Amino acid sequence: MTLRVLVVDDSALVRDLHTFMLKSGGYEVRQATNGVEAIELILRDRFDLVVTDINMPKMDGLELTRRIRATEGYADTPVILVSTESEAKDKDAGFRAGANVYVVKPAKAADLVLNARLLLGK
Amino acid sequence: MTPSLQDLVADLDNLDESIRRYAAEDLGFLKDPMSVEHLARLLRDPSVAVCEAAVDALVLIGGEPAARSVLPALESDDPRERNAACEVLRGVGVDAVDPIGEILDTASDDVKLFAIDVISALPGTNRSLELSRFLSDTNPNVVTSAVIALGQLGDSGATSALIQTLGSNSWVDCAIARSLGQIGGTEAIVTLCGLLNHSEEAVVYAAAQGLGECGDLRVVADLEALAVHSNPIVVSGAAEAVALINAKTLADHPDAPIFSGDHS
Repeated sequence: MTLRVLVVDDSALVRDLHTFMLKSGGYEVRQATNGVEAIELILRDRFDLVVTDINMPKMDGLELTRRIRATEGYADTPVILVSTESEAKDKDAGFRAGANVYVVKPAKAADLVLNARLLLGK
Repeated sequence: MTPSLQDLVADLDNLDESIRRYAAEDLGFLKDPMSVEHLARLLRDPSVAVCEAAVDALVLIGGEPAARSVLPALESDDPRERNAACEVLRGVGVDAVDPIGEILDTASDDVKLFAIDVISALPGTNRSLELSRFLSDTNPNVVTSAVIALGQLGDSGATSALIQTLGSNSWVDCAIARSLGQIGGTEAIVTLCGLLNHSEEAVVYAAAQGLGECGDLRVVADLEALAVHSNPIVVSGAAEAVALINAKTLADHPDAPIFSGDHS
């Protein structure tokens, strides 16, 4: 069965490029433009991995990660944060929110897909 | 009796969330620039409602003082505070341009990104010029944001600058491809057709999407040539672009010939 990834970013370009990378890696991908939309999709559908930006309107990626962790059935679902913020304190905030991996933008296709494979086992 | 500025400012520190929120709202109606620094503090208030009231109040007060008061919040570790500052700057509008411009030379990359976000949403005619200065930035994320903003403006005056920026980073090249598609025109289309031979698959995919956005029937053959590309996602992206061109053509010229776009 194809594994399902939710890509969350307020930039259409980033959403589309991350989607391209992950689809090229063999994953099925859905998109959301912010944390609120992402939570709605997560409550409706099942996803094996969430790849999210941090700075977004309505609900940022850190809050989204915390909400995912608190959602029934999603406590152990891997979350990859992809952000322009590259300092140690930013990464620390991401891990404290519950993210598994922190990738600094611009993400390379190989990094994103390799991390997805490591987290999902395929 | 109408409460004084001092009373309202004092209420901003009240432990009761509703009192802080009402005080922020009243300060907005009072429109006294003396209150902006106090209201800016509330962008990091633990209550979302208080923070939103402060944002609305600062936008109501407006002007350069309101814009300047939130600039330090762009450097905050808290994304909610940063987003609130951006919201104020966008709400303040053209009066935010000079204060933002004053900090750009010494700003961190993150602040530049927020500045681009704000500038691109402001009304006015000089946005392309303001945004183009970021195309030579050393950080690809800053360049990418400026490229995206220029594409959204759709100003053909930015086409040459975008084309000259190609080649520094494949991520930036993807953004340029999409923006050229939004701007359109012969120079953009010729460049996009050239990018269909790029060594990075993501750039080829973005160029195909850009050509789809242009909606020009003359590039259908170039897109159909991607049917033999080794990456099936590129193939389907090219087919989607052809479908988009056909849809745009049909909308403009109902009698035009339709290409299959079938790459299966």
